[in-house]
Amino acid sequence: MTAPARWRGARRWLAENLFSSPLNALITVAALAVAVALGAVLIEWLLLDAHWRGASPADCPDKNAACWPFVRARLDQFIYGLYPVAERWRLNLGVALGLALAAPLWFRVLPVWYPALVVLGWAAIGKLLFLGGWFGLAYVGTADWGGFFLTVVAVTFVLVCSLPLGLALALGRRSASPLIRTLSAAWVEGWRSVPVLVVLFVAIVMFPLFMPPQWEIDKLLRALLALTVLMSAYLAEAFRGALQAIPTGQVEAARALGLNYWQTTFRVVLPQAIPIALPQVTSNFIGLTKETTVLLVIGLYDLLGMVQNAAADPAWYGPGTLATGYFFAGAFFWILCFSISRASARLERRLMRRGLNQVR
Amino acid sequence: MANATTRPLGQRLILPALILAAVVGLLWLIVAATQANLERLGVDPGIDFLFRRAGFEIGQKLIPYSANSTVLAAFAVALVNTMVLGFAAIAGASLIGVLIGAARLSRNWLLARLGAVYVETFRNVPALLQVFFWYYVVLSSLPLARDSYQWFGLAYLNNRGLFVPAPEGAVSGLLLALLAGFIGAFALGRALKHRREATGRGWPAWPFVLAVGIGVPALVAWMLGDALRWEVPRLGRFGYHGGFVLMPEFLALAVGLSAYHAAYVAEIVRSGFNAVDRGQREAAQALGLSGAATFRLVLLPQAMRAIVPPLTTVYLNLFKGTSLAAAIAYPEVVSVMVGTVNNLVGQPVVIMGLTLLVYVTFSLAIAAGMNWYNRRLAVRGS
Amino acid sequence: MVLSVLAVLLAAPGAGADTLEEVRARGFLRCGVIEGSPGFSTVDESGERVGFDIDHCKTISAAVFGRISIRYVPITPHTVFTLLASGGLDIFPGGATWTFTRDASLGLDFTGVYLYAGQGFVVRADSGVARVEDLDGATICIAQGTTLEQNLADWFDARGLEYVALTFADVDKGLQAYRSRRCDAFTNEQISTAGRIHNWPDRNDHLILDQVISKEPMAALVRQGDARWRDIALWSFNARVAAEELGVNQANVERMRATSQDAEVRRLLGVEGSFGAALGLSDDWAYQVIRLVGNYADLWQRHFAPLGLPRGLNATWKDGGLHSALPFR
Repeated sequence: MTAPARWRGARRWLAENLFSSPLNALITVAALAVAVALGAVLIEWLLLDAHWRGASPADCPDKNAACWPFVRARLDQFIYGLYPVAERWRLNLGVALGLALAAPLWFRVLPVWYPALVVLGWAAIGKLLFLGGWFGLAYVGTADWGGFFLTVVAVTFVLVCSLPLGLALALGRRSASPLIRTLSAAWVEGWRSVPVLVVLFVAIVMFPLFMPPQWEIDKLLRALLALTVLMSAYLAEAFRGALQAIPTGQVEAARALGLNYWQTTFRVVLPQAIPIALPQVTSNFIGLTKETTVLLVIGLYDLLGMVQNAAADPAWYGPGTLATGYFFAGAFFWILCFSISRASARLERRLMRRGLNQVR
Repeated sequence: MANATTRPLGQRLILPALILAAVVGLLWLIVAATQANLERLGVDPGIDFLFRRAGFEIGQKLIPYSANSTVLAAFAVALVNTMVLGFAAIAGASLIGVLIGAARLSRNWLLARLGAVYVETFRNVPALLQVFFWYYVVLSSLPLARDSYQWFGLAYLNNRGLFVPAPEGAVSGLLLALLAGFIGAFALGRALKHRREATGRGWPAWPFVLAVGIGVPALVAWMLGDALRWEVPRLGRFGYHGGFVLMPEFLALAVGLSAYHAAYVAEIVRSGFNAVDRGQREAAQALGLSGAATFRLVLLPQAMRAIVPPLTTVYLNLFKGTSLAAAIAYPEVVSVMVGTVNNLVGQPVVIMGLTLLVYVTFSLAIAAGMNWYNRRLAVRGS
Repeated sequence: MVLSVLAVLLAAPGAGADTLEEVRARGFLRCGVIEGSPGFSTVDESGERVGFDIDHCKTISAAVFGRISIRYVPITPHTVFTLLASGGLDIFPGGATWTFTRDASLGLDFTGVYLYAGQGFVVRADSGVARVEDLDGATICIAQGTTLEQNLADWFDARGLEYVALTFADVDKGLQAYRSRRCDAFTNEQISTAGRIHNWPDRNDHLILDQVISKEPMAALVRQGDARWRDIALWSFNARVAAEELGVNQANVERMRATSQDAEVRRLLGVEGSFGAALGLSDDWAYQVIRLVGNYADLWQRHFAPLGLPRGLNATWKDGGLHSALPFR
């Protein structure tokens, strides 16, 4: 008996949502045509006409068809960059350790010293495992870092460094001191009005000019510091909006209870503000993940840069190869960004509960 | 600011004073180090180089320029290229964004889904990757010059770009006529609208506005006669030349940036309309307003107030995004100044300063323009 | 106190600083390399850096340490001059044309021409272009960051010819655009172009024009103001040309060192006289260079001959080229 009922329900749903009026029916048909046409082109190119077998240039005779052997042959490079093959286990181990270290945060909200410990641990992993040069591990300079690994390192580094900075700037813009307010505002508005690419050029080309000559700062580090500075300005805006959303009554009540500025800020204001800021912080986080591709312009090859480089190889060269590479990189970034937004939604729900609990 | 009233003044000044000292110290260190470094490099910072002969060619020049022009002229060419790209992409992103936003708001389930797919696809893939895709995959697989797509022997599309006829001779006359037509149409439209609002009678404005806006330039073009010629692209030894060319680099950036930022515009449009209280629509219908009138008089003004502030951010991001041109060969400010000029004259401080200034200026201008518009909306809406 | 700290920080290792001592104390040479330029600087299958420029780095290292101890610093044309002048590199061996403006105003020193190059063009063989003049009206791809853009504009301007410039941030992007038929020609330093297109599967569809439109005498760069370091670079390169003229190469250097009676060979290889101390090097430094890197002909055979490039101007003067060793005496 249920099937006909559901069938009737489906018909009603169709009638209401797709064919409620002649115009609506027309739109439905047109939209369906567009969707089918696009889907057909994609499926045909990506799957049906594509070359699948093998891992060498000879396996892709048609230069316009999708060429999956290219991705198979170069996958390791896309992931690890030019990191020496024999040392790649260090990256796997390091990322696994880093994730394990941070895992408890995913399941429980831990006191503030634990995230600090995680950050310290990550720094140690970067220095000891990724860079090496200790305990008999070969030194691998940042010039050889690349691919997805570089994306991960860049995003992690910039996020970890810019979150506290952005928070401080947001508090600075609400400071009682006009000086701190002005400086914070100038920093935030100034950096927000210039393109990331130009800032990276400044960091790469001009940084050596700004510094005393013996201060030699690694190229990657310079680029990451530039991204951090930019990101801090964007995050400051995210936090500022959230801080403004906290009713002044909260602060006044805390003050009346005899809490000082820092206690009020860290015990009352921030636990409420951070969940509010989270969607904005996440969208900046996703923005940063996408932005790391710009590093390729200054010669630091992230995932997209490695794809671009590998496809320029004369043996592989062809429009199909390049398009397959872009498709792969695009899918990779899509999954990454989409997962970040999902993970953040989960975190948001949890923090919101906790923030409310604490206020109660 | 909470503790401002409770702590003594001296204590309150400690942190600002420390921060000030740190900032001043850091700035001083940077300035001193830069001076020392420039001295060692033998570079005397100055802007003299701007008035020297540039000595290099630029691929797209919308204002007169040759290798014999000054560096300043090269800068101006690059600036115009940046502006053209910026405004083309802003227009494109707005148009696509509004269409996709409307699709997402549609009561047609399938259309709304398609809109959602567009938004989720385009905003989760890096803009640079999208530009590369358009440039290296789509546009470079266009046919060669001799196999161009063509329209009526006037416009040609091939892997060297889009070639369209360009006015020649009395171009300034034509531009003036276009401007006059635009201003005339605008003024006429306002006047007719005022009259109709004042008297409640009169004709709808749009046929007159259209007539003036198109008629005036057309009339002038006809009157100019032989003084205004149209240069049609011709096939030469190395592809088409003559006429007006939209380089593939420009097209890739304009399309790529438009498509990417349109996803954000669509979301803003959607949430702008969703922010309008449902009761407003019902109230308008209860008052007997037609669907179109409800939209134009009730929903749109209120939605716009929620749309404009976040839209400003998108426009700013988009304008900054034009610098991605440095990754493909479109000659805008970053590419010409930071790329070519800096290597020729070795004045990194001045050149970087100038480049940053361009973006700061445009950011401020766009923000100011949008704020002005937003204020107008607020005043009119209240 | 703050001021004194700053004063120490700002006291740069510029004028008066001793690069040789610094390099010795550090234990390795910091050598700037532009990556991905076949013949000049690439990475081979085993992950080793190889190329003409890489061998320059090795030459200096051999002269200073008697062994290869180098940290390669990947650079781009955008960054190299600033980085070198600010002390981030000890030497930049590759790809810089010795011009008046650069020598006079960049705060850098050139260390003797090691390669006579010129700006050339690659075109499609079926395009009917045989001379550069035929490119009137063509779209030409070119890379930023060099003297190339100005050479091109000057050359076409002087002949009243026209072209459309398409300027890319780096050579590979420009070449890729040419290959996808975005441009009719690609212009760059001729030898490096030959190296880059050598392994194209459709190499025979492309033609490198014989003509060059500029002289590009290439020289390695060091920071200005350290005369001894400049001399070390200059004479290390010169030793390789001298060795070729004297018939000493990597294969026979041990034998020549043991048996040669030629006074100049004996001086070059440190058997006779004291030709190292004045530079702060050991007396057998040139021997170490030839032993570890080879003479000029060895370098050519290793890197450029496989690309099918004739020696041309880069032969020694005895063979009709321009290289002429400064005498060791």
